Amino acid sequence: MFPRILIPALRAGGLALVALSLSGCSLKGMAVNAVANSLAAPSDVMTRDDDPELIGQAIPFGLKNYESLLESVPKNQGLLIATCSGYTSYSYGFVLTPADTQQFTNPEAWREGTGRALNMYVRAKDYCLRAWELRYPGMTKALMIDPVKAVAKTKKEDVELLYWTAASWGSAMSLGKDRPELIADFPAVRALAERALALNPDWSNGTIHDLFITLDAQDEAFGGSEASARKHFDEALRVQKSQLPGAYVELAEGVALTKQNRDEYEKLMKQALALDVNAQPSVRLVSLIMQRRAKHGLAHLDELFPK
Amino acid sequence: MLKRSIVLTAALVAASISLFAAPPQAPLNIKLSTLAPATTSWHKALLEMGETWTKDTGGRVKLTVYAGGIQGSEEATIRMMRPGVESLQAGFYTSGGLSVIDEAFNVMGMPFFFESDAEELAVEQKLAPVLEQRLNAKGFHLLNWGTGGWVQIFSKKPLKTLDDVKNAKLYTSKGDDKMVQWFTRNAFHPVALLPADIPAQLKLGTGLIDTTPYPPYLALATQIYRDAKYMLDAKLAPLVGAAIISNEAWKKISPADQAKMAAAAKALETRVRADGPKQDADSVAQMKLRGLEVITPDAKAQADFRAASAKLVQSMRGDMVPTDIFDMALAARDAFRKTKK
Repeated sequence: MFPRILIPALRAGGLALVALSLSGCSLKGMAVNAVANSLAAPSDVMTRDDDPELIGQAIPFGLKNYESLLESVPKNQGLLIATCSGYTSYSYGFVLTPADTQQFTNPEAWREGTGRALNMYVRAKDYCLRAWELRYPGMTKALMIDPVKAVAKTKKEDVELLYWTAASWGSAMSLGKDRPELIADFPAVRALAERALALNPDWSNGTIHDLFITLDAQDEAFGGSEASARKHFDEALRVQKSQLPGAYVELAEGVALTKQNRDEYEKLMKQALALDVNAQPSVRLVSLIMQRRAKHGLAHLDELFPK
Repeated sequence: MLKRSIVLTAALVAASISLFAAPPQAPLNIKLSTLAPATTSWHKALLEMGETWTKDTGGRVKLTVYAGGIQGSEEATIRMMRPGVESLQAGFYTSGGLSVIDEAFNVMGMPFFFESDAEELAVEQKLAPVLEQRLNAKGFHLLNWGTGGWVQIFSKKPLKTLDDVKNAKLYTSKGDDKMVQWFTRNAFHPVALLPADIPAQLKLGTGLIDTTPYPPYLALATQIYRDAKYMLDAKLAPLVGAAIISNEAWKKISPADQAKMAAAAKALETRVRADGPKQDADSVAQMKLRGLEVITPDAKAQADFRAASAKLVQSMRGDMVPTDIFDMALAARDAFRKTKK
């Protein structure tokens, strides 16, 4: 669920301060919108970095500036989606992943970290839903009642929003199964993801296939299918030329761990670790973070597989 | 000189003591399995209990929780706790799982036997010492009880009376032959399936089942209410379980640490008991927002349920529930009911 960080956070910081200091209502509104649009444009300035700590410290500043800008331009769809994707990615890469690496060594820190990650996913989901309401008024309610019908009207240009809504909402559900109001809308997550897949299956370097590895790794009672998860794993490798560790880690954590297949888990994590993070430099940071997860998994095989 | 030799001797003695002193003990890692999915309220409560264990025992005991049934079914994981296997040391089980160890635990899941949480608690407290003793004789120590709300009846057609329920194609757990026979003897129409088959069968227009007992939280999580759109608020049975640890593992812990662990386990029990009703209510509220219709039996239907329940549960006595346990439970329940009149 972690394809790319689309947040040019450092740039966001500087430009946002300029925008906020502008005076004159209409001029300010125009300028803020221009800045917001600029910030929302995709860039790989963060994702190609090779220093996760540096980026992890820089992003929160950018995210808070996004939120400040949204106070002035609450209807800027691009900025709403960027804020949603930013919180989702930051939560996974810099809150949940460090927490997960403490699962066996510091359970309290693990639990607190997953709690923070959950709150950020919920915040992210709410920004995405705000964007939907601007684009298709009444969408939130429609997703709740009949999600398949609700997404049927969406078009190819909606794929980014479809994806990030599914990713943020699904991630929130996975950490918040004690919250009935969250788990109630699991069909909406599937419907959003399936619509994105139907409209543009290989979007963003196969990231929708990555999402489906996790979604389909759910128990059958929750709509999952191991065969389908494996099919999407193959598709992700095809699109990503088997150069990115994400799909390997997702299959290991989603399917191999759940099935308690230690051999497969170990093999997949070792494959993820063996990949060259410079093979696709534009997502180097993402690869580094996924390899951290792989390293953690390999270091705790006996705890993960007690048999 | 003498002083120097005394110092030297003292140093040698100190060195020899440190050479032969026991190395710091590695923490005892208790591996606990549960069907409760990760990040549910039960899972989070277990994690917190583990943290308290570690803190209160000064790091001598550690708990690792395997949620979502990834270690296997309740029956399989109980085997994994047995002497000689011991790949797991503890489990958080439903009364159905515990009945694999001792049928006496079936008493907590008897259909229509309890009418309220308070009633269930009164019976649980009365039976606890006996059940703990029986469990202990079979190699396990009871850490705490756990509840998960009430099992209700979800159906594709509106059901209002006991006869309606009897006429429905009712899910029953595959492998639990005694329960299937019990339902059949009492004029129900049970269909034995694996739990994982429930959502798919309910989706079909002419599926093998059209009705299933389910806790509201799970009905929401698995979304079965989108196909089984009616919930008969009949309170079939409370979802009761318990956390247990193998005697082998328990004996490795000092009495002082055992007491600390027992206190944390009790705190978990209190917490999940308090969470249950809210989780049920919140789950039902969310499902109603999305189209679930809740049917509350009218006064006559309720009276019918109660009258029939006495006969129904009686047929479990000596068959699915040992007679002494059944009689104790019945006496405790009736005594509690008298205090409420």
